[in-house]
Amino acid sequence: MVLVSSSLLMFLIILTFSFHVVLLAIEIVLALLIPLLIYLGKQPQEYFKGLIAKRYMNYIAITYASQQVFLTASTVFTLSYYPDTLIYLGKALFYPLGFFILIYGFRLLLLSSYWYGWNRFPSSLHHFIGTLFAFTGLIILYLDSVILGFLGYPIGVEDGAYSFNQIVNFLNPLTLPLFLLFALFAVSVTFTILGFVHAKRIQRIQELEVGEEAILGRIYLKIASVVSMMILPVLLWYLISLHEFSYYKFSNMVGGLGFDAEGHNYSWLTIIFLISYVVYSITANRWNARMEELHSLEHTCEAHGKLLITQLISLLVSFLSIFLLNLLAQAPYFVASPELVKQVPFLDINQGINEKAASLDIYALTIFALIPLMLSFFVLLVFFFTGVIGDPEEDGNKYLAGMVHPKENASS
Amino acid sequence: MSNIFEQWFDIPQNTLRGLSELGITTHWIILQYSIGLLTLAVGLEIIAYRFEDEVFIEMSKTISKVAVVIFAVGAATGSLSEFGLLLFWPNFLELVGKYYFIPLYLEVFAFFAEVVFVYMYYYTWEKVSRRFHVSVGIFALIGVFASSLLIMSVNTLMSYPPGILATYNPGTGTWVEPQYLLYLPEGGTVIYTSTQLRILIASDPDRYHDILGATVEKKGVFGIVFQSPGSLISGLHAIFSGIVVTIYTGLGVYIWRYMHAESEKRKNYYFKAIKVMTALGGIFLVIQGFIGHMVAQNMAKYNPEKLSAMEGNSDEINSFTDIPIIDKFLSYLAYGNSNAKILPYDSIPSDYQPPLILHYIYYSKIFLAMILFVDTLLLGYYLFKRNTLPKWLMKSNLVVPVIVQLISNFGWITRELGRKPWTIYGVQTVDEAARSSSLPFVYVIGVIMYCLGLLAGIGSVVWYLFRMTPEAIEEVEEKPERVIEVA
Repeated sequence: MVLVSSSLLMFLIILTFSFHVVLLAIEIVLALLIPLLIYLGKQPQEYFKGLIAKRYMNYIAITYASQQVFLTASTVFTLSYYPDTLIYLGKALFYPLGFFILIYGFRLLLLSSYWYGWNRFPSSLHHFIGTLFAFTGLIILYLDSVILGFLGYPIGVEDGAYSFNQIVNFLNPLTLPLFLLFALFAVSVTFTILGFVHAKRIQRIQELEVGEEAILGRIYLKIASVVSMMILPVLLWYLISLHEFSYYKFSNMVGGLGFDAEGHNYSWLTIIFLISYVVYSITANRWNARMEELHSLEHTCEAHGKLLITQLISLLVSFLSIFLLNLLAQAPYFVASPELVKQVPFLDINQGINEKAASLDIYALTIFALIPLMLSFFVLLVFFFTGVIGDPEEDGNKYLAGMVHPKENASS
Repeated sequence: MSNIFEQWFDIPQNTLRGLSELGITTHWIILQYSIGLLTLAVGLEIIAYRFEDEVFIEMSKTISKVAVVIFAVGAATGSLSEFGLLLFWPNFLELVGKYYFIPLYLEVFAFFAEVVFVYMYYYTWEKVSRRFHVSVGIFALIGVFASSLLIMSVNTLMSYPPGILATYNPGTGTWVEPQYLLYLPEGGTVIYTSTQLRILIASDPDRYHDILGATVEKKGVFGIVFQSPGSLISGLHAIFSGIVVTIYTGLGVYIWRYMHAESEKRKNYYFKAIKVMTALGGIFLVIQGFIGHMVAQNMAKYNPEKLSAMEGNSDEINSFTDIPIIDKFLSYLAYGNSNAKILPYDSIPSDYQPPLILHYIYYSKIFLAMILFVDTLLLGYYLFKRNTLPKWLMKSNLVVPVIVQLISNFGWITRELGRKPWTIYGVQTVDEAARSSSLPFVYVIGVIMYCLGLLAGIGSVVWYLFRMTPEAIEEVEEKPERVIEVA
């Protein structure tokens, strides 16, 4: 039986987990935006904000389900390729994972109430549910950070590596900077995507709605560029924490940049991150300057469309590169602690492989199945976000209770 | 023997079992709608185009809208169940991960196909050609059905582990220990009884893993799972269960809507929808009955202890097996021979005895299923013969969604409880599958309170939504300046 290398196995696990986090980030920011837009949508002349909130609700439905798929995929791939490792991590992270389950369950109730309660619940209750949905999304992101923090600095492992003090997982010094880093990226990436989506939609919609879409698009892109500036200091905080608590991981991230890598050198990812971040900052600045000059998203988009695309791509690349860097920098281990791996050898990605699952034929089947599915998924997302396809009920008269359509407002 | 409740609670790991049961029941309740709603939506759309009927299109569209979020919720409860297995039953999951991973692995792709095509189906209504839209729906259905079949194949494996032999002889009615045909790493085969296998697992786990590995090698990672007896039929049973539950839930909802609708137009629409649901319900209920019968026959062959407990074939309780002629009929149903003997429950060693309460759960299910069948016949008579629906029949049918869920969940409990005290029949006990350290008391209480709160929340949402009349819902969408008022 021909076996696939551990790097290829890890590639699938990391790829699917990365998509889970990116989609989760988008979902959380959308959930934060909706209650705000609904509130604004009830003010005179702000009718379209309510419509857009309804559209975002559809975005949430799709990102919510798809991030589950990627989460399941990464878990099942880990279970199949590294069963012992997954079981070990399950024991070590019992409480964070337990809370994860409880919050996930609660979010089900919130999402279904929010969706089915649209136009049916009193608005204050509906707002409350929406805000709670967003807040619980942040908790999920925090719990993801606890889990990733443990991989960087395995706190709470006691007595010969098989006994755990799971409560201290929550006190991991890497968790907070990681959480903030993800949250900032979540906001800037989602707002950039939404800004891009609104800019693209302007070309497809009626004149009456262009103004609203343009205003939102402009605001979003502005917010994204401001928030993204906060990423660097938080990243610095994270690196300092790593230097103090997980030097092994730190050295792998910046090996060759004034430090010697103790394991695999992933500084090339750090460089990719830095380049893409600089490209984003420059293009975002230039875009904002052009926007100030032209005072119109539509015209800026027509004249400087490439700037917008570059902004979006460079930000996505910087998010993915820093995320991948964080996951890979403990390689070839699952946890960035050579001492722990000595006691638990299957935490080495080359040791705990399930050979039955790591065979070439299964891997080939995986790639063969995954490529068309991923492509269909992205085509679906692009068509959906740009309005080529959409909610069959979004026909202009399915707005929120209490909203006043501009035409009706004018006639009254 | 202790009383049947004590016997039930004597099975180890009550807390973990209770919490898992709660999680998996929640997933099962929602999952059935994921399967059924999409099947109905696509099926009705095909019928609509065949007969050029707008009512079917409206039904299909409404149902697909409900399916979108139910699917997302079902996806999340699936992830939760998976994490629950990891946290509560790590030793079982480890075995699955090492040897029987392929259904879970393939399910990722089926799940992926679902998420792509379910959403594509809903969001392309009236935006693409009919033919394309139906094709997308069919792809989504393939994903949904494949997911169900794959997950059920893992569940079937717990009842019928690889290599299990049909050793029970219904002619003699004597209990025989489960036996497994396994392959040796050095070549050749070996038949282990359950006791021998468990001694091997305890004394030489490496050798056991080598043998299991060689068996997987010989049968192939795909074969080891899909050759398990009853794999396909159990999967079909779950799929049809989803469809039947959805149809009868839909029936209850449409009757409620019909009763509360004020305009003639809406009344006509709901009346037609009730007719459709009744006809479909009757057809699928009968098919499900036949599939259930095949599942039971398979179980009688490979897991006679479970059948014995289900039929209550014990001196301790009264059951149909005590009644002449009926006992012959039951034997005929199980083994195709009226002279066959259902395994006497009292002759089974306690290590292999499923709790006897199974008998009552199983017959509650059968009793409720018969009520549902009679109810369907009555509905059919009034709807199709007299073209009317008496008020008493409408009112009584409002509880049909609850009844059909009870039937389905009793069936699921029978399936799971009937395997106890084993997690993998004859191979791994519940204790061996569970996590080694017990859960802190505070955690358990917290989780129970949380689950109760969640159920109360779901109940409140459903109650609130159903207080609104169909007209009130339409009104609020058509006259937005009005403040929502509930009926």
